[in-house]
Amino acid sequence: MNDFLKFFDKTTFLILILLVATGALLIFSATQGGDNNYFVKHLIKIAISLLLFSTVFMIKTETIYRWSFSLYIILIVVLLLQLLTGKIISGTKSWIKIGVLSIQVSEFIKIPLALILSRYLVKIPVLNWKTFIRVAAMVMIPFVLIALQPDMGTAFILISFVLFAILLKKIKPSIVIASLFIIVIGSYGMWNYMLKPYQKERIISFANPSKYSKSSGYQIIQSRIAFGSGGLTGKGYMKGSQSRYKFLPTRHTDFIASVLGEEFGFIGISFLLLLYLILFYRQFNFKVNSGEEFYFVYLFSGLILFQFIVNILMVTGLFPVLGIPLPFVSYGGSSMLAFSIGEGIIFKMKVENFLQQK
Amino acid sequence: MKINRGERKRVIIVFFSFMAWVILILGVLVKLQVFNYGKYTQKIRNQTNRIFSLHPKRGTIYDKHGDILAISVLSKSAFISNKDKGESGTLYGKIGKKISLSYKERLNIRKRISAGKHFIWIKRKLSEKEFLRIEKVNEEGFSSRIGFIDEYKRIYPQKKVASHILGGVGIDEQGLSGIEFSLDAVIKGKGGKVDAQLDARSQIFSLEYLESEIPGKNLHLTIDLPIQYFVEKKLEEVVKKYNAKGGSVIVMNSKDGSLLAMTSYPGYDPSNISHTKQSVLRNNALSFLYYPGSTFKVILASSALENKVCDVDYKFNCYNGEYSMNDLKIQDVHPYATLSFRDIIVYSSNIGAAQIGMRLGDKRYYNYIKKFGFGNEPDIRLPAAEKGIVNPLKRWNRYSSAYIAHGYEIYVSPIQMIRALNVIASGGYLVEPKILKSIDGVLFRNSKPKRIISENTSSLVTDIMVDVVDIGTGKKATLADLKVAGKTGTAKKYKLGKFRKLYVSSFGGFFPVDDPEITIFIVIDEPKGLFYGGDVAAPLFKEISKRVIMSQNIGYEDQKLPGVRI
Repeated sequence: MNDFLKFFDKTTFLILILLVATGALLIFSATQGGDNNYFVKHLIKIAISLLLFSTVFMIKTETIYRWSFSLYIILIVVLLLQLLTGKIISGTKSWIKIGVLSIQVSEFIKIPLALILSRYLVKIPVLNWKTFIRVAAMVMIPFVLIALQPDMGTAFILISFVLFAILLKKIKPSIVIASLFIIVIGSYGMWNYMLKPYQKERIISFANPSKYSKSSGYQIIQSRIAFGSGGLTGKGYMKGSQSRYKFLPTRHTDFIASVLGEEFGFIGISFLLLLYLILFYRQFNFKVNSGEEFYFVYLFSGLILFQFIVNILMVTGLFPVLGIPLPFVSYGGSSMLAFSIGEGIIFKMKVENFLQQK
Repeated sequence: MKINRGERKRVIIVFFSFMAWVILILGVLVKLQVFNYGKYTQKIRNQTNRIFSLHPKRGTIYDKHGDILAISVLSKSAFISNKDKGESGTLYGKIGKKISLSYKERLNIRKRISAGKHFIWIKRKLSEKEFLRIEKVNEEGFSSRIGFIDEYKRIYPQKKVASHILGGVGIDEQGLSGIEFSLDAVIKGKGGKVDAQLDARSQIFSLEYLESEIPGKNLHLTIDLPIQYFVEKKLEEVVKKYNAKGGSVIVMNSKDGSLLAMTSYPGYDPSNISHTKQSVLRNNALSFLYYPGSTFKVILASSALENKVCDVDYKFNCYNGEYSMNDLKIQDVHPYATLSFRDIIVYSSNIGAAQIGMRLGDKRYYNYIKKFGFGNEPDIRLPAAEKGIVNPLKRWNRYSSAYIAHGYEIYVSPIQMIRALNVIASGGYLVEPKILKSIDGVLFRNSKPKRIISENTSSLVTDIMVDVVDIGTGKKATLADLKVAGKTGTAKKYKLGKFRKLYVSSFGGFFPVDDPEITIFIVIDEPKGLFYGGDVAAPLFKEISKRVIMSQNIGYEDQKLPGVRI
């Protein structure tokens, strides 16, 4: 147990705690005056996340890997059942109610997916047609199921696994060209047959928000106003008028960064970016000995990095509004619970890595 | 399993390549938050701040006793402010049926919604009930909300009473008619300005006063509400009884011209002025022009006596009721062979009056008609007072004085008639009628009365007018305990080039005769059945007089009754 404490990555954990605390503070500010007690709910979810983190941390990585494939299959089945029988809440079927908690299963698929991908990637020296198709299939099955719910944001984030795999592995150029081609064709198909008009409008409006200022461009415009009016130092905690007077949409979830930008200004946002930078640097730069664990840390941290970049691009108006929360900061329990589990695994891997070296 | 060294290197490359994105983001944020800070701050102002003008509280109008005739109270005005016309439409659908609106107003709201207007008034100045009904819709938690703004609403607690005097106001409390119009500048006060901050649902969350408003001044009128109310009720009864077109009554303090009551039938509810016909809005006591008929003989008698044309016992030949000289044909209702000057007035002989008029002479007669105030609108601070029509002397023909003598060839208004008759009551002074007692407690000063006939003349004419009521045409105005002076009038209407069998009946008088305090004038337009002033107007005079005497303790100076006011 002493070893556990000794090799526990305290710096990274502190960074995570700082991110979560920032999120809680911002959620408190963003939901002030509302009837729905989001802040208390968020605190409860933080507590559950800590519990999950410690529980996972106690489990041996080996055990986790043993369960990973069955877990993947189970979650795929649940997603399938949800699609067939699920009730629509807030326009999507992605929610499952367990007691008082609403849970998005789609968020949790990230973990077994990263596990099985990491185990597979370790076995293959290079991405050829056969191996690439296998990797793509593992990702595309949940992607399609989630996209059909419809929850474009969560589905889109899964793409990061393929992207990061390609970036790391040696790959045949023909595959890159072919997959680009498939992306173009696939996008065309999705645009015409899968996306709902409101989703299309979101994507178009990103290019020219002022034209859609009364509908889907509204979010982008209001978010940019929040950032812009925050200035260098911000308006002060709890004093952001964009957030307080409800001009900012989904300010406690996807647009939480806008609240930070408005109330704490450029300095506040820079501080947040710095926290993430340290987090990612520590995760990516860690010398893991075992191959599959190396890939897991890489893939899972890559996913968080990807989600972080997309969210920030989205709130600053550089990317279409897809409904992607800011990792560890946004309100939205499922995302945080899933990330806690993932981090629990990573932290455990690091400790085990040190113990093996010893 | 060992990891490929190249892959380990690539991880770091991947990390730094993603950090390039972070640098891009930082660049965008610098532009947004540092360079464009001013622009976005202005954008916030544009979408949250609205300058509203504040309507000050309009002055209250009281009667002479301090009873409220018109007052402004806060009320709620409802609006929808939503960028989404679908939501506005749904919301309007939810509340539309809960408030009373005309078809045209509903159409207008629908039009504004489908035109995609952001700000749409649903109804301004809701009643308390309407407000409570539609406020509930907000509690249903519909995503869009109804906005409310406090606005002053003009209330007339006495409903139709004194409607023509008060007039009425428009939706922005601007005076449209009556004293609300003529003294608008005094009672409206001065508007203020407020900078309101609206949230995304157009709810006001903070206010900053830029200019504070100055409330309007309060008015006290000379009107005595119980008497006004009584007069209106009785006038309505008479108009209905004789199936008349309308009528007016004015009750005035003989000494200072204060109007205790002034009304015309039909009246209206001032709070509903926008839906009232223009013809009903007319204050006929000031603007109804008619041939005065025999009541005008009082002015004739006063002018003749003042000019010493003859004395009161001088006898005139009355041609047994039928007088004709060239084109001039005059008839009397009751034929007389001869009548003294006094009896010509008492029994209202047109033939006799015509002779007095001709004897007086055009120039002198004209001058006195003008002195008595005909051809001039009274200085009463109410809109739409008519001048009447007095032909200039050069347009008089040789018979004009004879016709004017018994009240034709001249158009007068009821307020002009009471002002002229009151010259006799006041001992020879022309007193301007007044309706305004004080503004914010500062007494309103009337113009100084002008003497136009001698005291002697006025007492001679008073005597004659007392006989009119005692033994002449005005017997139905007789009061049991009090001597009354009066004069009847019945004039045929001249329409489309012909005299018609349509009449304007009137009665004017005052009391107590030894020191008159109250002057009353009554006009009934086109009574059917009975039509003589002595039959139609005189009984109404009697009823009103009794009521006024009771409340003013007139004639009981020595044995003051306890103040009875109903």
